[in-house]
Amino acid sequence: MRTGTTLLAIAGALAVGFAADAGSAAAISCREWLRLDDAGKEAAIDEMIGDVVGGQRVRQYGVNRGALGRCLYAAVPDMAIDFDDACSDSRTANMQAIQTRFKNYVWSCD
Amino acid sequence: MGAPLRCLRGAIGVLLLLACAAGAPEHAQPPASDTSFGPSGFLGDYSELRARAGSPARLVYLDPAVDFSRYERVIVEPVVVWKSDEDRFAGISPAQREALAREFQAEFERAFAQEFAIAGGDAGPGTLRARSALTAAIAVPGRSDPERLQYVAVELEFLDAVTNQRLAAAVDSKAQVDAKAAFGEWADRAAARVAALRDVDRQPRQPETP
Repeated sequence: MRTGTTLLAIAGALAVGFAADAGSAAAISCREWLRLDDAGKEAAIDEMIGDVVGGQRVRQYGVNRGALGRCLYAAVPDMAIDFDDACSDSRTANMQAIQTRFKNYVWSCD
Repeated sequence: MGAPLRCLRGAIGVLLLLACAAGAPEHAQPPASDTSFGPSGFLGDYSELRARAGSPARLVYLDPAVDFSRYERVIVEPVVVWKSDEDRFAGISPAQREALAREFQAEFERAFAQEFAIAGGDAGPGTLRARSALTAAIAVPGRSDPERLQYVAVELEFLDAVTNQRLAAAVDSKAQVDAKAAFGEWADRAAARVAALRDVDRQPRQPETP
């Protein structure tokens, strides 16, 4: 089920028209994150990934863009747990908590 | 010669062979495709780099607090052939090593030119400095084509060109590859991820207030 959802998400993100909105979505805050249910969290991460792999800049790197998207979508469950941890810990639950964690996934995704 | 003596001499011969094999230096054979060298020393401090799950040969580091969207230019330093250990370049002549390094540099400049203005050494604000090294290249035994490698490894880091602060770094290797394809993939991968980080940092942030 997850595979099907992932493929759909990748296809959606890679669609040409999707890129028009790249960069427009706000990075989610911990307060907003903690209000979401599991499905909402998954959708929020999917949107973050879609913004990145559908963005004008990453679109320049065709093959790598696809690989990055597949890797990031495969990591959605891990990200959700990671973001929960970051936002539940008062020491790390700042405005950039989710964004900084997400950037680590972007850089290390293979 | 009696049978017991022949058996004893045979056993001694086997033992000597085993002893020789055990005592032979490891670098007599290039690494198998599933093995790899550790960090070469090129990056100096590896304490911040972490292995990726399921890929222990690949090390990565990112300073997530850095705003990548403010970087518009990149200085691509010449790719270094980092010869910390001769075993890392088995079967590759010094001239071939340099040629491979230039090939990696060309791929790096090509990939980053899509995203950045290439700065010629002017380390002004908003400039990344890309340092990279070819840290291993092992020829396929019995093949004279230096483009086909049994093993190749690179290390790279991105610094703020003004402060020299390390922003990101990576150590990676590949086995049984075409050199140009491997360099191109590494260069595109790095450029695509830096481009992605710039996009992430461009996104507006929601306030924490309820």
